[in-house]
Amino acid sequence: MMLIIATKSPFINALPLTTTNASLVLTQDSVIGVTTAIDSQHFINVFALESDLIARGLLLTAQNNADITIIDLAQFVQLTVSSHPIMNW
Amino acid sequence: MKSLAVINKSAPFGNINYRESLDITLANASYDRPIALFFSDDGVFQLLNNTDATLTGNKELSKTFGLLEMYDVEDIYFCQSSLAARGLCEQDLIIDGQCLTGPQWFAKLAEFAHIVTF
Repeated sequence: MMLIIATKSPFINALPLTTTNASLVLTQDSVIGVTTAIDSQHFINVFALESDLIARGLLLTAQNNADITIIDLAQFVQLTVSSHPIMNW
Repeated sequence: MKSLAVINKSAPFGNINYRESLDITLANASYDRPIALFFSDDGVFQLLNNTDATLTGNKELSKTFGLLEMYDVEDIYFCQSSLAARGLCEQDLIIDGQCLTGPQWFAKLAEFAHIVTF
């Protein structure tokens, strides 16, 4: 499974839309994406990193978004270990 | 003394724009320069409730924004369309200000002698 790691705000750098077997992880400024309607049908899963959500005051917003799975750093590392290839976005 | 408008368009923590913006604002305010802060685009995320900047190795933003009142920086404006595009409203923000529509935004900016954007 491909893992796409987003780092930039989706308002600056639009999130990818893929038809391949891929999951998306929102990290750093890309967690801003939880405030928008993410087209989750393009991904197996859409994850968001908990610490980046908390830092930006967006944890509650993410918790209310059914398309988002919140993960901690350990789960993020596990994802990177179990996924191939990995692409930064 | 010529007036200054500071526009904040960057999300916090991804870069140091938000810190530089506050530094220039407080430095100019300390010399009694007429100054106003504008927040648009991802800059509105600087003002969200319940942030925890310490997780990114930075100082908590709410404490810094608390200094604005002490420096008499009271002219604060938000871009209405930027808030709406991000599913936010004024109640989500930690400081009081005036929400401006597009035409009002540029009309207000035109009142200032200098404009800097971060």
